[in-house]
Amino acid sequence: MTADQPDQHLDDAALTDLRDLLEDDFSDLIETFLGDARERYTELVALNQHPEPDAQTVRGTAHSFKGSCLNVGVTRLAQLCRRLEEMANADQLDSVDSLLADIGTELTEVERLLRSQYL
Amino acid sequence: MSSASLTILIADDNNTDRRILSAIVQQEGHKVVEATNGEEALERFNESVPDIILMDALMPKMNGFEASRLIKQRAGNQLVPIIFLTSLQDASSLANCLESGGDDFMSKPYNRVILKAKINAFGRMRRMHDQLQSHNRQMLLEQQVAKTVFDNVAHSGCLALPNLRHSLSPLAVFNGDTVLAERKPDGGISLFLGDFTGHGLPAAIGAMPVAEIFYGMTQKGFAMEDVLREINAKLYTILPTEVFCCGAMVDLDVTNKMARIWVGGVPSVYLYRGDSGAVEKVASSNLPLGVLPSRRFSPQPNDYRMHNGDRVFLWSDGIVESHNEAGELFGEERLDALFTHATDPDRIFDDILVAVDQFIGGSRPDDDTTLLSATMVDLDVIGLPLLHSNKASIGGPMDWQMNLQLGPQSLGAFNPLPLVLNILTEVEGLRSLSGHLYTVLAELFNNALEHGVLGLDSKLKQDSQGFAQYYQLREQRLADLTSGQVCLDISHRPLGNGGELTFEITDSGPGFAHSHQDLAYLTDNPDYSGRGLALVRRLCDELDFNDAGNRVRATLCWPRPAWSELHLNG
Repeated sequence: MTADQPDQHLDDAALTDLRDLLEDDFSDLIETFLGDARERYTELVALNQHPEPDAQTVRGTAHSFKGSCLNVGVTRLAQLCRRLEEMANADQLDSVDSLLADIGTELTEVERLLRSQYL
Repeated sequence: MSSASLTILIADDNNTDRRILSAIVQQEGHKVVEATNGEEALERFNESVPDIILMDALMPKMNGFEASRLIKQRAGNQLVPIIFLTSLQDASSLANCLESGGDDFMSKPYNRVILKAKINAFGRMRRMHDQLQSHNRQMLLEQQVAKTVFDNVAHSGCLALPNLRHSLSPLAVFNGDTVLAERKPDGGISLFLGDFTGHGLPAAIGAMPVAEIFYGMTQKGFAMEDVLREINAKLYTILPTEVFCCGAMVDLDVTNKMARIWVGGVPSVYLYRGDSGAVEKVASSNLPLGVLPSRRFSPQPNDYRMHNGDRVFLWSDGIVESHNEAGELFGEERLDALFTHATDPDRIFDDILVAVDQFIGGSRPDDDTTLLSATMVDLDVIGLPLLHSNKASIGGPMDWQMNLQLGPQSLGAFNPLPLVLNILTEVEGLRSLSGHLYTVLAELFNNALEHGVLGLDSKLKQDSQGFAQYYQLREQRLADLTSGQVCLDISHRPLGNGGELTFEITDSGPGFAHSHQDLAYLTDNPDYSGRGLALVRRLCDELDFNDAGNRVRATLCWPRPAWSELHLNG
């Protein structure tokens, strides 16, 4: 399944399906997704800057972030979010700086790809 | 099955996910209501009564699990399927979705084909549940109507008489047990206790014809055997093979102080002697009603002498077979002990109920515990029956006469009294007197048959041994009868603002040996033929025997003075 290949940024089959389903609302959906994703990322960075990050909140936000990534076929970002969720779950938040940076980079890449290919 | 349009509540804090779901669901033609957290979900649920809920597990403010719990609580009997939406993967999280009231779960990313299939499946389930609910409501409504009809048919008869006690503890709206009591035209009481196999509607349906036959025939004066035969034939015809009616029937003859008892399939009827405290058990010696075809059903009741204060107890197996929490049966020994240790006969009935109740304790009764008891009393304690007739003729036949001659075969095979009584009550003015008429007719006819034709000596009946012998002889001589007859000549004529009824009953016997004696002696001497003739003399305006003593003539005019003016205890 394409969603399990971390190298893949986007699941094109899933996105095409969504475009067929939503028709005129598709671009609106992508904008909503990107807006929410940016918001969640900012939230995660802010949480991580706290001297003692709240693992439960990080976990919840990462979980939800992962969910919507999966739904729109943003495969690799979903994978990164899952890793963060797992680390929060294991209370290993002292070493997530690089993971967060990866998420930020991937989000920028996803936004570029979506805008160039789907909007 | 094509999916009818449903209202679907989608609760998800994630805008992207919610929009995708919404699009999928709307594409299927369903209406969508959206909520972004658990609290909102609860509010939307109250406003829009959705058919199905798609619920995200993790949401701010109130999570999906808590919202589901509250929604299920609020939905009560309504089925509101909740499908959890989750990207949780571990088994315990998925199990948690179901344990908190969810009916199913969907993992992200959503597979549209599976989601549609689930919505359709739950939509179907929801509709089926609604149908079931509506059928159930309909059924309860129908049961109420049926119960009203049932209660009208199987009404309580004369169960309210002071010498009767009964207890019915229904397990359902309907009861597999039936208790019936009705006055006989001669003033006696007929009791019936029935226990149908099974409970509820099937059992109650069988009870209706039983009640109809029992009341109809008892009021008309039919003998117990005839009533039982009719009930058996009816139940045999209408009931499925595995359904039948265990029962017991008791006729209390308050004039001749006798109980005729038939037991078919229920536990032994107890006969409690008021003076000695002794108990005689009348065990079941017949198959239940509705088992045998008419030609093979031959009820064999037994007669017992009953003094005032003697009691009969009838019950269904619910009493002896009730069990406690340890699984022990109440049993016959515990029941017998209640009788052995009874200090006040009036308390036995309540003692049994209390004992069974205490014994059962917290465990649920498995069967209907039904109990009926009757005490032998004098007629003046319970009065003569007021039998109601539904016939609508006004005035009725006023000037007529009839003659009925019964030969030896007919005397053994046929009881003419119900038939004659039916004709007499066609006369409007005689209808309210049917109790009187039956008493007069029965006494004079039985005298003619038993003393005249069969030559039985009523002195035999003085002690209980002779009593049994008397009825044994009666049976035997009736069976062996080859000659002899009883003639009934009955006429009616208008008189004043009422009428005059005359019975003339002639038998082929030799007449009374002491017919020269004064009539007052004959009719007032209880040794002669019980208390019956004395009563007849009070009920009639004139009562004459011919010289030979084999013909009696009774005249009765109506309207009558009120019964209370006839001093029974004279």
